[in-house]
Amino acid sequence: MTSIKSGYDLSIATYSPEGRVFQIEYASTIVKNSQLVVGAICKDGLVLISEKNCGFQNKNFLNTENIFPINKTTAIGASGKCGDIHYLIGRTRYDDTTHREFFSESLTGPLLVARISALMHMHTVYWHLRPFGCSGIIGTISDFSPEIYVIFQTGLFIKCYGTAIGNQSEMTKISLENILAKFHTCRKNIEVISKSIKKMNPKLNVQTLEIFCFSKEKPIFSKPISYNILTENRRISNFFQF
Amino acid sequence: MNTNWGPSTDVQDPALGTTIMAVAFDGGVVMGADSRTSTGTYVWNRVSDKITSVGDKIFVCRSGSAADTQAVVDVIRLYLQMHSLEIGKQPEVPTAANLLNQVCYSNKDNLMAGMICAGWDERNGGKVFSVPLGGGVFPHPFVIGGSGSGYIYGYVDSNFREGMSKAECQQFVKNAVSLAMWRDGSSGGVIRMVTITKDGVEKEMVSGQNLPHLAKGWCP
Repeated sequence: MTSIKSGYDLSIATYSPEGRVFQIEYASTIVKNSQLVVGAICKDGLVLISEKNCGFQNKNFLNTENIFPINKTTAIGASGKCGDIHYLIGRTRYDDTTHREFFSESLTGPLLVARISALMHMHTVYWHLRPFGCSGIIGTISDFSPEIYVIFQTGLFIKCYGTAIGNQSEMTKISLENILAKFHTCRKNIEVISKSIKKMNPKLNVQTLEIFCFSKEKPIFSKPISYNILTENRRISNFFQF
Repeated sequence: MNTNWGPSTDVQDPALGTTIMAVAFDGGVVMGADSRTSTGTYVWNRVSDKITSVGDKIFVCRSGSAADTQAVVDVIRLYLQMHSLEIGKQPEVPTAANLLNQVCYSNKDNLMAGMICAGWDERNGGKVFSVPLGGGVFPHPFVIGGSGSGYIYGYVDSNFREGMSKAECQQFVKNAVSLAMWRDGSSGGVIRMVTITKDGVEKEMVSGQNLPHLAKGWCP
């Protein structure tokens, strides 16, 4: 097996003899080390949860949001390089505005996801463009039913009931399988998922999660709610778990 | 405003040469139009079809300049087909009306087209939108348009009821268009009717001797 120093990893337009494009795999390590984003479909809607990454030592939380509303029925939770995320979101919002101007309906569902993934894929084809350093989980309400899609840097998108990207996403996905099988409501899902996030990472150095929720009680994506994971877990659990 | 309205210039009425209407009922729409295309005083086509399809279950009634409306409808049909390929299902009526508005409003200096867009789709049921001369989209339970419409506002205002059945709507359209054709010089010929429901599209033509003659009480 050819190793990293063998020169097949210098350009995204080069395949290795095993059929791997090394640059894309290198790019995906950015997402593996970035903030965790979880998306899940609930009984009465869907919920997107993200870690607030604190980049400063004194743990002051500035307006560094990771979940962005595109229109009233769509939100994207992204993990990875901040600049790439902002470009992608700006592009998607522009697409949505022009679509609404022409066709008088918001861009939702598979149409929206196909547009974004076409852009991300284009960045993996040409030698002079670098791939996007971000992945996204998209929660949309299309045709009155909630849907969750995940887009990877290669441009692939998958529709699913719930998923996680970012650091610790593998373990989160395992515990998510059990949670999703029970099909809770939105509120219950928030509590259960945040408890499992805390359990997996006892030394969690973030104190709050950012939560975007679309449920029957509040059927609109407007602003994320902030959720103090420590105090909420303390409230939920019967005895203190640190 | 461009006053070159066609081969002949002795027409003053801006909404010229036709009577078109569309009525929505529970489960679909009924559209009706006369069939006269005139250039000035000469009747160029006495059996023209002014109700054109832009999708499987979406039709547009055209009034105004024949060339302008045909060009606009061709553009709309193209955009709607591409849009329905992208979304993977049949296009919706408000989408078609909005596209019509985009084209009519952006080119309002060069076009003279007053259209009625109506159809049936799964999410909204039967819907009627009017896109008049300068643009704008206006949803209504029923719309009348064209030069002949001025003569029948009284009739439609007094005879339209919410919740009519399909047969009642068809009779309403037949009566209204025949009254307009009776009085308006630029409307005439046959009545063409299109009924769009969930089950499909029915086209009907009511020729001269079968027209409802509502003035028979006083006029032979």
